[in-house]
Amino acid sequence: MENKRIIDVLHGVLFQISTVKIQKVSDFYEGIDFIDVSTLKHEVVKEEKLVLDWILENPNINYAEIYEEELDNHELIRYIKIYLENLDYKNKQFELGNYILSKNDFLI
Amino acid sequence: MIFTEAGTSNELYKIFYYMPISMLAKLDTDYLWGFLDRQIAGFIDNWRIQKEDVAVTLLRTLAVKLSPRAFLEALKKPRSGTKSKPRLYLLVDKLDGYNFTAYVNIVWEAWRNTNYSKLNPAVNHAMDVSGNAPALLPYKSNEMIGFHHDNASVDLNKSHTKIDVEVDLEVPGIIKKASFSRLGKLTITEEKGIVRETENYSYDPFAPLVIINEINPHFIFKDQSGGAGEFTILPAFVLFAREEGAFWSNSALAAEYAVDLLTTFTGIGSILKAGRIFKLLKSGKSILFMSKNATTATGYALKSKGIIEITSGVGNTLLKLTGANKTEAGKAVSEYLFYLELLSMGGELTEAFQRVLKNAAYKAAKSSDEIIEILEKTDDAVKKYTDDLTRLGKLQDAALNLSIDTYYALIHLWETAGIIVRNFEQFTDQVKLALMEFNIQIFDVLTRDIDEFFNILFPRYSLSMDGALEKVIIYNDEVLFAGTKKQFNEFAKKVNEAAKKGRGELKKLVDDTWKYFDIMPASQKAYKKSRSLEKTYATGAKVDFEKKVKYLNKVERKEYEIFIQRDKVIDKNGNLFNTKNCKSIDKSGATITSNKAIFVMSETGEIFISKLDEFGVFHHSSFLSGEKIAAAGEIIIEEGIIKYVNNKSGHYMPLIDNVKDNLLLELYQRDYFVGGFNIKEEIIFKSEF
Repeated sequence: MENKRIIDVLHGVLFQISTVKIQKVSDFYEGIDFIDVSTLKHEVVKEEKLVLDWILENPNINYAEIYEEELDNHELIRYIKIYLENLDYKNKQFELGNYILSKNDFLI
Repeated sequence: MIFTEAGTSNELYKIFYYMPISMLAKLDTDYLWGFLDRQIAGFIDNWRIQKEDVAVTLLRTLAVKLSPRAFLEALKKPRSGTKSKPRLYLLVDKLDGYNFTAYVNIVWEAWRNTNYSKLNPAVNHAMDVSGNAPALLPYKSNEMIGFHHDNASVDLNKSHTKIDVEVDLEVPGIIKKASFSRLGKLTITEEKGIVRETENYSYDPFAPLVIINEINPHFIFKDQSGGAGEFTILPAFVLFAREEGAFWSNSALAAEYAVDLLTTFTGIGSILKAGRIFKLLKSGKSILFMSKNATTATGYALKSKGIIEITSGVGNTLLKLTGANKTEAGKAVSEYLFYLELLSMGGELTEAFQRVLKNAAYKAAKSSDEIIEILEKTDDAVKKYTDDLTRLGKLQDAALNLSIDTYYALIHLWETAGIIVRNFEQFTDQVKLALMEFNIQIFDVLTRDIDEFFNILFPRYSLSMDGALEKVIIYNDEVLFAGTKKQFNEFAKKVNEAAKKGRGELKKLVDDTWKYFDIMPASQKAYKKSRSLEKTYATGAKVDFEKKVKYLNKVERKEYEIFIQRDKVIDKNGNLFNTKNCKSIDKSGATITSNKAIFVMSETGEIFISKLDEFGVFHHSSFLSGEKIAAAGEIIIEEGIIKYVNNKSGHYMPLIDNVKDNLLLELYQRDYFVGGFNIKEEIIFKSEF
């Protein structure tokens, strides 16, 4: 996998995120009103899924070196797993036509 | 503490109550007037905090801060944004007792230092040379104590700021006498004599008056700096002020005389005199008001009872505290208090009352030895709290070696000391004063060092992604260091550690700053780092990405600037700012709606907020085109009130202290009360760009 692709995807995945706070999918919906997925860019989602799956298959690479920032590999892998779970959830809801997602969806 | 706990008006009163004037004077003038305006808009209660004292303290502060002329002019204005009576008169209505006296003296003192006090119409336009407001006002008083006029009535014309005075004059004139002869013929004879005339005058409240009183030159409001002259020059306003208080003369002044008798003998007066008498006066005032409204006797007796319950507290608590309520002296004092209360119920000092009051005072005075003993016991009670005071003293010593912890400890201490004063009203005024002075000493320490304190502990450092280097400017913009973010964070940790140890350590650290950084120009290491990043950019992803990000120019960024007005955040159109329905679009195109907006603060203190941020299009870096900032993060604002702030900015990655120090200081300097919102640290794994 090219470093450029890894950097690009990691950048989007970690955008304005406090990863330590994300322990389960519903944590992505904490402290916000709702997320509108009607404008989801499928090509971006597809690329993210591809690269992140590859990272999960290659957990021993030092991603901090590639990304040029202080990353804890273990923490990154943990976070990516939950991120992918959320990505699948968003895709599924999109297909079902449920575009507005909120914390309430996880209450049951 | 002040900055992080939710602020209530009572907390503000608490802060202002114990804050010395030197500290208060650092607040903005409009803010101080605004606070005072809010206070005088309604009834100034003294529940928990002596809010009248706060009003007087604010007045003292403003009198110190402003030029005397500006202070007086502001007093002549109505409450800001209203068409109320002038502040000058509202304060007369709202302040009582010693606060009232203090208020008049503050105004008088300021007045004395302006042209208003000059008896020269060429420089003093408040003087009316038309004869409608003569400077020499014949004024009489037959009072033995106090300044009371028998021949004039003063009124405030509410449509303007003038004071109307009606004076009865006895002037030399011609007296006409009519007589009839036995034949019924009318004969009018004229002879020289004294005739009574009524004159109506209208004064500017600050017009100078010369008061002559041949009978009693010892006015309560005698001009202290005027020496023992035969006349007093005072602002016309004082006439009105005294008119308000003139009613007290019958009962209250006589009562005060009696109290003086007691207090002179025993020294117990601080409580009785300052506390009881003025509350008594207030009772009297209420009774007068009610009688004017033809309230039934039962009605006002019941109402008075309420007042008495309040007023009986101070003296009797003292007696109970010392166990003196069972002694002869204690009983005498109790009896005396009882008559005073009875007096306040009746509202008049009859002959009978005078007699019993004097008897009671005499009895109490006779037991002066015992009363002194009571006072000693009071001192014992005070000693009970000396442990606290010793603790406070130790902390005060620690203040000489200031650190962040000590600073907060002092704030806590300040509040604690305040609580002690507040909860022990039965202490003598001397004890209260000692505690107050102690607080002031603490604040003097803080005030004296405050500039240095901020310079050392809270350097206005700034970070910027200038190429691969983060720059950090430390110590008053004088020394420039550069290094990586990691180096900077390491240094910041050391600063925090040193701050806990004391100022000496901190100074040493600041002196050794160079050890933690690569001094400009970039060292080999930093250069390597920059080359490495350049290489990464060259591979494409970040370079392409960065090209899309919107960078605002100086005109465009004005759209996002916010301002502070009357303690509220407003946008450029003057509307209260809200962060409801803020949108954040992530890389996958999903739109997140929340109540958090992104903000940055420039090095020069401008604050910009956007309710929309979009991955790759609009970020924190957009506001200032990637230039240096003083603070950045997310913010929640409801109806102009800041509720929450964090340091979440991937681009700048500011430390939470960075946001706290710089943003809070900026808001504070703009008179925004920074105690009402949460500040939270957000740790971001990886940055946005």
